Amino acid sequence: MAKYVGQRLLLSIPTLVGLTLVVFVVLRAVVPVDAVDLKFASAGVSDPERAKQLREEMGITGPLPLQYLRWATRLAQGDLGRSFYTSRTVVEELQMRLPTSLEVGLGALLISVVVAIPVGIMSAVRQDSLIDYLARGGAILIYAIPGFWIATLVLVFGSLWFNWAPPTSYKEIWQDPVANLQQVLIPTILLGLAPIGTLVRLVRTQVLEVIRQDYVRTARAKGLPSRLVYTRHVLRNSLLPIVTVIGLQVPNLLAGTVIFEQVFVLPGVGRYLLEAVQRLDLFVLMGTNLFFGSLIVLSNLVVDVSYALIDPRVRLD
Amino acid sequence: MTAYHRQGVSRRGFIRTTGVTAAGLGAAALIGCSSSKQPAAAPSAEQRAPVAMTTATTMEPKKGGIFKYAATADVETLDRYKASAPTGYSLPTYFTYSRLLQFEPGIGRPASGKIAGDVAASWEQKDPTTIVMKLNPAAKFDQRQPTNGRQVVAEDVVESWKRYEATAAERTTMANKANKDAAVTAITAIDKGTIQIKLAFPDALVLSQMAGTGSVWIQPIEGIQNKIDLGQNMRGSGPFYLEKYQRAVGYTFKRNPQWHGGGGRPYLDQVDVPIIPERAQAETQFRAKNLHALAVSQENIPTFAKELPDTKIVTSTPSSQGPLLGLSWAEGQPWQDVRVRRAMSMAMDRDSIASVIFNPKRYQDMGVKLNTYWNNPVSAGWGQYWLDPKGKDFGPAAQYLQYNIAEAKKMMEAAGFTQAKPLTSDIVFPGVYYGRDWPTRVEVFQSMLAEVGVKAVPSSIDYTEYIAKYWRGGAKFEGKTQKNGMQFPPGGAAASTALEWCISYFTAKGVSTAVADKWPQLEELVKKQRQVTDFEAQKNGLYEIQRFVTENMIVIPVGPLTESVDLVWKKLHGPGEVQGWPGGFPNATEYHSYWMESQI
Repeated sequence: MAKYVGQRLLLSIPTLVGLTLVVFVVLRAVVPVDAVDLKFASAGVSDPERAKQLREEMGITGPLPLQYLRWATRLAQGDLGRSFYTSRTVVEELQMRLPTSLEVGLGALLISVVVAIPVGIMSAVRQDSLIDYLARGGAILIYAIPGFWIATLVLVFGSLWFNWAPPTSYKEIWQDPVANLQQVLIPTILLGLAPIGTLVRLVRTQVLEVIRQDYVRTARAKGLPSRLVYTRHVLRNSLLPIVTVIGLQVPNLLAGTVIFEQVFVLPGVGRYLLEAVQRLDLFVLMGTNLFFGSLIVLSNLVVDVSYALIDPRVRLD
Repeated sequence: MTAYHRQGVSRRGFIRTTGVTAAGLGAAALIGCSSSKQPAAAPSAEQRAPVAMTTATTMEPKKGGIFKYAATADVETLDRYKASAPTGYSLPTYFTYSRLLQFEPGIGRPASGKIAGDVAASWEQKDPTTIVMKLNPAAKFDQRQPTNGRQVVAEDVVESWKRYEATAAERTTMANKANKDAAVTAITAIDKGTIQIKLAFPDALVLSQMAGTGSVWIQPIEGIQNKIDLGQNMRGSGPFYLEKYQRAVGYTFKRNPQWHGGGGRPYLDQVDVPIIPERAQAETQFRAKNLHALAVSQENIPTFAKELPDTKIVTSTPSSQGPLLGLSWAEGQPWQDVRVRRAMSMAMDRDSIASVIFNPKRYQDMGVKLNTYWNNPVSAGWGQYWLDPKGKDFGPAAQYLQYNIAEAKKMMEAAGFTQAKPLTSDIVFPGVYYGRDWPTRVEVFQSMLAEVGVKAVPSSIDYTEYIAKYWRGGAKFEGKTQKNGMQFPPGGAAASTALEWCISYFTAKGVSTAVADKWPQLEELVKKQRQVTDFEAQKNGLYEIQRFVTENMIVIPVGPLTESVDLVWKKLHGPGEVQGWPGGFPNATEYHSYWMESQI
């Protein structure tokens, strides 16, 4: 297992390097202006001397390969670079913002799993009943609704009907758990809706496939209670594809944090990334994309490793 | 800045103009007058700027209350001299620091551009290149460590100036060291309470630049000498002090009890500014009374006003930026023919444009009168420096701003273009960057120009490409999809006077130049004004520039404006009653005069 994990981690390095290269090439070679141009444009001033000085400070002068190499050298020392806009280090900002994004992202994942699995099972067990139709229809509906739209609807109608508005100041969960939950609960639930839509249908399909197997008939024939048949035999054997899809939700959830953090004004990594895109903040984009890419690689690895834990027949080497 | 609506112009466009202020009266101060003397002949604001606005209340201001409004983005840094754009520092700086001079707000009337002292109590022009200022002994820094409430002294000003000329975003406007066309060469201390400003040449703009928001904000030497990190802490002498700042979340400012502004101000106990980039969220918070102003978009104001009876619609002077169509002066472009330019302008029904964009009738039905002001292209937001094209003083050039399709068609035919054989050109614009209504405006222009034989092709491009090739194209460009090109900028500039605005647009080296090197006569007219210190003469000179630009239709003004509008809770006083300079709602520099009847 350790050898497998090591190999996978090594193989992920070219992927991540490629990711940063793509971001770098797009921002430095394709986009006609850079963050310095954007800054002076918004100031409505022209100051070529100061612009040159800023570019030198940021390390974006000279040939493009050299600029990339400078960044890569700093990365090797654990330095993801500095924001053009704030001059704060990317590492510092990620440390500040990550807890918020993790809270929302992991919370959304947990909610989606906790809701989708029982609903999917029930939908399969009560196949072609009203519950089944409602569950499937509901899953398709919530999957189809764009997240930003539903977030805006919740905000607008929440204020119109219930005179509700989320708090404007943010408290970390360890500072004030109640205030924190008041702010993050709604976006977390909303972010978890799309994965619920996907997972309900998948769980239903997998369970339907498994409950028709001989060993399940045998388990029932032995007199096992239904609850045990489903939890010990059906669910465990359905889990592999479900775990895969759960793992594949990680990138969707990361993308979703960008929208929900913006709409609900949460100081997370997603909002940081969006602001960096608007400002052409090169090193922030490279650093956060590298971070997100690493998370996705890691989540895929966790999914693969979990196969071996769920199904002893699976060998990783 | 926080308004989402600003007459359909985006927040970013508004921020450009609130970095801006103007003063013709500042010119008068150059002829040896101190702050207490103004030319007797100066017309009052009421005579020249008949703009509708919410009148001042007759109630006495009350002390107390927490005012809440939202910012749409965080700043780069709390240290003004490390930010590379006004948006990167402005909000907290405006609350907590002071300048040498400021523009006097209008209370119950439009601001006139009159310069008043801030940290400077008085000033005197010793000779054409020397200004001496006495500092106000009542101006004191933050009471917290390490400034401990001490007096602002000359050394603070001198060291702040040095930082300004080294790294300030706007240093090229004032610092000769950064730009030989800028006047100020040095600020030195004569004694603890007196400074001297030396100029490279006599310049009518200097005092108004000093009063503008892009000028020298005075930091304490303790911070400049790194005894405290000014990027994380603020120690100013302004009306408020920063009590709490949470990155990406918001600010809390508290009243500075020893502020030198007088009059018992600031009245408010506290100002909370959460950072809310999303419009829907801001409107939700307004409904819940978590925000008190500057939250509702213009198109939603009438709806909200009907649903929330405890709110009021307030108006202010128009913005100082007037959108225009910029023409390309590259070889081979069809705009060399003045008949074409004039005809295009006369095809624009400006009052109809205003109806479509601002829908004044909807406001009129609610008892709020919005007037339409034509930019020429100088905007009505510049008050008495704007020459009203509908007025009798404009002269014969005003005909080219009148809607006259018959005459326009004749001119286009004479130039060789008809509806059957149209002149085809792109209108290049950066999507919704300057406002969600930008594409709508372009469609309106397209339909109006089609009537006179101009086939305008809307060409929406990314902002980064727009600034590289068009905004900074030096007024020589081709269209995106067609050879012929026009561009549609919002008409803002980093200007503290109407003259600076003209410098930006009507000189070859102007940052927003719309003339390239094709109009030396205009450039001469503009540059000459920098030496004009007499208020009336400078005003008349600006009128000449406006007539010249209109006569030759060098750019096509397409920005009719109305008064700025906002929806606020009734208990809040300030918006609409306190007027900043130039036009539009005031920024945070004027919130010291806001007050509440009771907490909202």
